[in-house]
Amino acid sequence: MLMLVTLVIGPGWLQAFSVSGNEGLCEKNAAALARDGKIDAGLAAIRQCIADNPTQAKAHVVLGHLLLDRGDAPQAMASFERALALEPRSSAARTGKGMVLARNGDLKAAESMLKEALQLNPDPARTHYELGLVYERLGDLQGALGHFKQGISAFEQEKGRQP
Amino acid sequence: MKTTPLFPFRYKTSLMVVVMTIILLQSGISTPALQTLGVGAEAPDFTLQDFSGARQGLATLKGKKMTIVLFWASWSGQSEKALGQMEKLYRQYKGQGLSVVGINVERQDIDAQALQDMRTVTDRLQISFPNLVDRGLVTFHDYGIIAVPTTVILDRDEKIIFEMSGFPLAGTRDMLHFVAAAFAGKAAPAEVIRKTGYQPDKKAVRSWNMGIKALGSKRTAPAAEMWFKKAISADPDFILPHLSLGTYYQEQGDPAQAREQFQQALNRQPDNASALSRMGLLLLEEGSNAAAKTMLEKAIKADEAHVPSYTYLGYLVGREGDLQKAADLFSHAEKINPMDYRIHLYRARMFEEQNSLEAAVASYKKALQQLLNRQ
Repeated sequence: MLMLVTLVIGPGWLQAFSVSGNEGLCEKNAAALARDGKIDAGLAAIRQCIADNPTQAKAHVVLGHLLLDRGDAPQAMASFERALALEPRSSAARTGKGMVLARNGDLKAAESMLKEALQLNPDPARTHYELGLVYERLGDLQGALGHFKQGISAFEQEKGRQP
Repeated sequence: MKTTPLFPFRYKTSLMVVVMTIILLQSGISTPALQTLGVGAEAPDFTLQDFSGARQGLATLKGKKMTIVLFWASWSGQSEKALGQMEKLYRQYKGQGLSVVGINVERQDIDAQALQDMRTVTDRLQISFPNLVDRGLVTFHDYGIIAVPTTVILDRDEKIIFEMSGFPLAGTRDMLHFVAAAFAGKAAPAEVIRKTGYQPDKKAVRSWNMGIKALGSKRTAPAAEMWFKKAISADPDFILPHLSLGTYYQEQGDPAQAREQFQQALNRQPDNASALSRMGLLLLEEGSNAAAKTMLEKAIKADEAHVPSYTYLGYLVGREGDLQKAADLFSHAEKINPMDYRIHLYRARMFEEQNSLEAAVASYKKALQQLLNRQ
């Protein structure tokens, strides 16, 4: 009886950026709630983080991902754009915008946005994954294969070969 | 309290034949259940939700004398047997300081149906020990589980003192002897100690644990080599540092040094599935397919639940053109541990080498999805 592994990506979008130190604790707690299946609590927590510190771009990125998980693409896009306004060189915010664009079917714009994200930070496995998905949908299997492989390699290099 | 016999009398004769065969097959075998941890290592802490949503952790659930942590899933038939056996142990020894903690590793994302599936199993088996849900499989990966079910036994200081992948007859018998001896205040049978109870030097364990922690981030990873060497220096018979150091060298692109470490491990435990598997992968990467196949088949014989060995062997036979056998091996590995990204990774590599682009893309995508789902 083979259990099929879920293909839905959950809070793994945290791979798109790194939050560290005390300033990331608030975002991490919100993400942990979402991981426990408490999306509403996660949303409430991240909105509180933003209320406490409105200029923290990473919090807006987390909010964007939670909204995207909820299916609210327009509000997610607004959150990613707020993050970019606060931190114009944010690779994570560009990855989020690329995800929204891809979900909306604007694959060429998504490709462009995700490539910008990779230029700013070539490491995030998540960005390679999203770009791989875009190329797959565009019918460019070689491109998709290359980015999925680079994503695996980036993850292993960052975290060590996984057990 | 009456102890339920492991085997009902009427099956004794036929089962004895089976058991003796397995004992002979597994003579001198150790069956590592964890990819990176092992006997002597500190158990990773965890705090997870139970079925009703309350968060509980190892610190509060651990036993005064011993804690058994059972990783299980409702889709694994062997898990039900393991749960039933743990319930018997729990009822027998809970008054003497035994805790049993079930950790459900159903799948990455847990919905209402998954929770219901878990409850159905624990209700039917009348499980009375606490069960937690590993949402996101964080604890599963922290422990480096390679098969479901997996049993990890901890002492009062949360140090791993026994580990078992799957639910094999001989291994279960060893575990029962191990637990019974501990609560009787006796040493476990010599054979059991030899297979599972080697207690490495404490300084070696500390150094090895430091090395494992160092591997956790790119910044500290280079220090791992020094820690593993310190561990080996403190206790050359402790094979886990040899395996860790060999894997480190392998990842650094130094197969000669990797081989030396794996060989050191095999010299001490010739039938250690992890050592055989890692040496098999090294030989496979070098193109020594025949030698690799021998190693991997031996690893599977040593531990029928050793997922990496099935995975590497699947890749190997696929490269040789036997796609049906490769598919069977990959499928078997998935049944034991569907969360192991390497199954998809090596299947993808096989497809890519055969220019099956679409299948390669699908498999690489699945591998990356599994990695990204880790927290």
